[in-house]
Parts: sequence; C-alpha cells; structure tokens
Amino acid sequence: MHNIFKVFAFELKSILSKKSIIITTAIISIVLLIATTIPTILQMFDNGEENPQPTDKISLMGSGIVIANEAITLAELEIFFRDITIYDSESEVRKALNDEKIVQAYIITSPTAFTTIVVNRDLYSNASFPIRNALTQLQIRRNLIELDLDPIAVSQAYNVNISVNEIVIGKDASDSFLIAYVLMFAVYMLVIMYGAMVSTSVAREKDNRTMELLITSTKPDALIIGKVLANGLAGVLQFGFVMIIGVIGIFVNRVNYPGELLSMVLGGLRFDSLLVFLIFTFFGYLLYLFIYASLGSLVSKMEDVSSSVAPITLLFIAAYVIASLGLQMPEIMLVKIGSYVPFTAILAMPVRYFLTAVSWLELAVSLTLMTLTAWLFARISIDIYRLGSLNYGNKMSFVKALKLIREDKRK
Amino acid sequence: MKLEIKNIHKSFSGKQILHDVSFTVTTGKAMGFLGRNGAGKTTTIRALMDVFKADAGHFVLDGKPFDPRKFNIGYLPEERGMYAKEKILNQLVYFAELRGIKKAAAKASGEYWLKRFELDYAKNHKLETLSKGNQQKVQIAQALIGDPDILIFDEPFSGLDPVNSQVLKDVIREKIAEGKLVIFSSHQMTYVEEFCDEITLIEKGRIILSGNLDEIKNELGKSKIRLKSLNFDNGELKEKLMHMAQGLDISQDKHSLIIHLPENNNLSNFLRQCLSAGIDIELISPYQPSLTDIFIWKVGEEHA
Repeated sequence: MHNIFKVFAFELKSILSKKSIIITTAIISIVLLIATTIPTILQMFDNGEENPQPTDKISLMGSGIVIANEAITLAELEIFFRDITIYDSESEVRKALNDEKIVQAYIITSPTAFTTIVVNRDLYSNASFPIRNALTQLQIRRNLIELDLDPIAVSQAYNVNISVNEIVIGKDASDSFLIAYVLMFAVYMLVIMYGAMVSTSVAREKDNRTMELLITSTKPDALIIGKVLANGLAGVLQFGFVMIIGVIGIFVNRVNYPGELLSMVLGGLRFDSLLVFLIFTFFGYLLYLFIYASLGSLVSKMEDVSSSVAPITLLFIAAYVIASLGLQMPEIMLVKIGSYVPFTAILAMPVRYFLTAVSWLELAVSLTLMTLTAWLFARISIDIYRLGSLNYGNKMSFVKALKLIREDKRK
Repeated sequence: MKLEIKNIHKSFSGKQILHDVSFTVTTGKAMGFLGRNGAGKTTTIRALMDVFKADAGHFVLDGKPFDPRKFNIGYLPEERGMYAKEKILNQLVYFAELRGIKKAAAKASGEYWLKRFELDYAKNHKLETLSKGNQQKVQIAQALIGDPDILIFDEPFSGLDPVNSQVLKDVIREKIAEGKLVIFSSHQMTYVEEFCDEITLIEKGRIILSGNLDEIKNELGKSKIRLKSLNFDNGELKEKLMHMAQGLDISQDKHSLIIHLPENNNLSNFLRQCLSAGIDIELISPYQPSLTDIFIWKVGEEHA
C-alpha cells in the first residue's frame, strides 16, 4: 500500500513537471481565455463605430447576373438585392467564374426560370435560394395583379403574428447541447492523451530496462496502480485547470454574451447532470487507463506501443462516434445500448442524461455494469502487467497474455 | 550470514527453466555466479528476490525461510536502466524508498555515493546529461544506497573505464570485508577470479559446478603440468613428447604446452624422460586452469 503512494507521488510529480504539459496547458488556457473574451472585444469595436443602417436587402457580392430575354428588370431585382453585377451574356459570366472574379452566376431566362452556375457545391449549399425566392415573390405579385387583387393587402393578410410560449418540464436539449458537447470532447481528449501517456510510460520503462530495477524493488501491482492513478489525476488536473480558466473567462465577460448563448452555456449546468458525468467519467477513465497501461507492458520496444494500443483506441473512438450521434438523437437505439456498454457508456450515458430523460433504474443498471467492468478489467490489467513486466521479446497480444495468466492461475 | 538456495525449480509456460538449483552463499566471501546467456542466472536471482515464486524449493537464511522484503538487497541487473529525464538524486531516493529505505536516509546515502563516485556535482541534473560511463556509476550507486546486507552485481564493470573500474573494485572489496553477502556475475572471468572465493556455474538451468575456486582449480589441474622448452618450439616439443611417452594428453595455450600425465607416470619420472630426450627445460610447473578454461570445459561437457 505504501509503495502505491510512493509510485503515485513520483509519477505525478514527474508528469506535472514535464515542459510539454506545462506549455500545452498554458497555450490552451490562453487560447480559451481569448476565445471567451471575444464578445467583449467585439463589443468594444462596435461601440466605436456608427451603427450601419439595417437593410432587408441581400447582398449579391461575389455573384454575377445575366438577364436573358428581358425576363426581369434591374429595378425588380433591386427590390430584393444590393451589390448587383450584371453581365451581358452567359459566356461573359462563365469567363468571370473561371477567372474567379465571382463564385456563382445566375442566368435568368424567364420570370419563372433561371440557371445557377457555381464553381463548387458543398453539402449545405443554397446558392439558388435567394434568386428563387425573389422570382417567386415577383411572380406571386404578377399573379395577384392578374386576379385583380391588391398585392399589398394580400401581403398584410399573410402577416400574422402568433405568440408562442414553450414550457419544458423535462430537459431542454437546446440548453444542454453545448455543455454536453464540450464535456464529451474534453473526456475524449483526456482518455486519448493520458491513455497514450500511461502506455508509453510503461513501454519506455521496459525499453530502457528501468523495469528491471522496478520489479526487483516493489510488487508490479504497486507500479501499475500508482502509475494509473498518477496519470489519471494529472489529466484531471490539467483539464480541470483549463476548464476553470474557461469558466472564469465566461464569468468575467458574461455581460457581453448574447442571451441565447449564455442560456446555452449555463442552461445545462445542473447538479444531477454534472454528477452523472463525473461518476461515469471517473470509472470509465480508470477502466481505459488500466487497459492502456497493461497493453503498454506487453511490448518491449517503444515503436510497438501504437500497434498494441490500437484496438482499445478504436473502441474508444467508436464510443465517441456513438456519443456524437447521441448529441443529435439521444433516443435512438444505438445510443441507448451504448449507454449500457461500459466501454461506450463513459460518453454515451452522460450525453443521454444531459439531453433527455433517463430513469434512475437505467442509470443504476448502467453504473453497476460500469463499476463491475472497471473493477474486473483493473484486476485483469494488473495480472497482465505482472506478466508483461517480466517478458521481453516480441509484442504479446492481449489474448495470449490472458491465456498465459489463466494457465498460471491453474498451476 | 549464510544464504542457502535449495532445490529450486521453476518453469514458464510448461518449459522448465530451473532444475533443482542449489548452492550456498556466505558473508565475507563473494560468490561468482556464472553461466552462459540464457542459462538461468537472472531467473534464479529473480526467484531469490521474490519477483516470482519458485515452483518448488526454498531460500533459507541462517536456517530460517528467507523473506527478501525484510532485507535491503542492492541489485544491479545486467540489463539496466534508469529514468533518463529525472534528476539523479531524486530517482536514487525513489528506488531506495521503494525498497523500504526511509527518505532521509536514502537521500544522505545517495549523496554519499554520488560524492564517492565524483558525481555530486550532477545530483540535480537529469541522468541523460551524463556520459554512459557516469550513468553506469549512478546505476551502481542505486544498488549501494542504504548499506544493503545483500549485494547482487550482474556485469557491474560493463561500460566502466579503467579508472572507474578501479573505484568499483575498491567498493566491492570494501563490501566483502564488511561482511556483506555478495553475489557477483560477470563474463569477464578476470574480475570474477579477482573477487570471488566461491563459484557456482549454471548451465541450462542446472548447477554443474559449485564450490571453492582454489579447490576447484587444484582438482581440475591435478596431474597436469606446464612445459616449455628452450631448444624446441611448442609444435616440435609436442611431437617429441608424443614419441617419448605413450598416453600423453597434450594441449597448449599461449604460454606453454599443458600435459596431462597418465596415472602410471609422475612429475619426477616425466622430468627424467624429458632430460633424457634432450629437451632443455625453460618452464615446468603444476598447471592451474583459469576460470575461463573451467567454464569452457564444464559447459562443453554439458553439451557433449
């Protein structure tokens, strides 16, 4: 027991005094502080300038228009748009596209037809929408006039304002989305970074033969437990520090945040949600760190670490993907199942709990599975570390190590 | 103190590594624990230090079961390393604390040995800033911290220059004189012969030789003599001797011929024969095999 603490203290001090940890923490903290101060900076610039006149007209900067067959007049276009550039022909506008003077072109061939030409189209492109909307409005106006109806009167009749008051008695996903995403991403980075760190640390001790001194000085159990706890705490301290900087930045600049943004940030901060997040992160984090440490002990050379830990890293990436789906669709079956499987529940269950209703029974079942799995894999990892710390040579697989441990226990 | 290794058996994954290993080490005399690579030396030492349990057998100290956790054992493994990016004194204290030495004592002892090895200037430097030889000295220092009762050195001279080798020799002699229990392993037989009164030779997990080195040399050198002639070179002398007397077993090293006299011959008789054959004697003496010779013979016998 004493030696666990000695290993823990030595490892923790070693990690926290690494230049790379200090520098990355400082850089991320500064970036976060600047990011949270942006609303204040923007506010300062806004206060020094004249407010531009509000306008409903859409800018067609970067676009070119060809009006063919007198389909529409420039005056009609100016009702809806500003910064209009007219080209005489399709060939001219295509040349302008190729010369990158414009990024899209509209060739209006009739009052109800036009062609949009773009250089590239991305997934969320809506290049045709503004012109379609304008032509639709103009044609409706013409249709109403033909029917002897006053377009202004019709427009006023359509101008109905319905007042809506929405009350959420459960959880409002829009309030919790941002905080759930930030925490999910933070845990993802934490496990990936510190999992790699602990496995590399173990592998380095084998590679440079420090392990020979360690295993003859103390039991392997003390080595792995101390190392996992030290890496675990170091990660929490580093990320916790950065989070606190972020919170301070938001708190200091909160008066300059738009109300909706502040609601998104603060709305999800509920005690029970944070508690669920902390508990699942705690057990899941330890589960992964133990596995990473044991996998590091199965190699004898540093260059073999990445291939040894690849399977568990892929598993955790799958957990991230499932949790990301959960941010959009927390009720789908994949996310529900993922919130019970311990290797994915570390991310999936907190995300579900932030965004939707999760019963106490579901929580209890998932947490029980998580704690039992974490305990079981901690035991297995200690056995694997004990075996791996004495073995040199080619990388041993996790499965082979389990077989050897079973044979040893039978003896 | 008398440490007895008794009937140790150990296997891994069904493969027997140690077969009934037994030998004894006493204080005041260093034990040379010798063997080829893969013979089972490290496995024996690890079993002794309770890194893993032997399948059968016991370790006994002064008649009682030996518990390594109750003793300060200074171990210098053959393949060794320390933390390259940690400060030297910090990690010396760490390793010592893991072995159960109190922090203050570990620090004081660490500083003493660093000063003794002329490395006190580097106590707050990272290990990687030192040369390889100086790093080796730091590793030796970690084995000596806390005045261990039992010292196990495996290839301690590896990487040391002649000056530092002399420093280490003085330390080892000092520890032997202090009555520490010293187990010494090296493939450099000259070092083993210099320090060790007792040797134990292990091959393929079996002890093939164990005992007092001088006695072993005398026993193996019995009925053997060295002979060198003034008027014949070694080749000619060998031919002459083969004609002169039947049943002579003749070999040679860089110094002289080595002749194994048969049972029906003795030194005086053989000398008379040589003189009668016109051989002018430059050198004639009883032969004592070197430890290298003993090692090669004994290991060779195992493979025959």
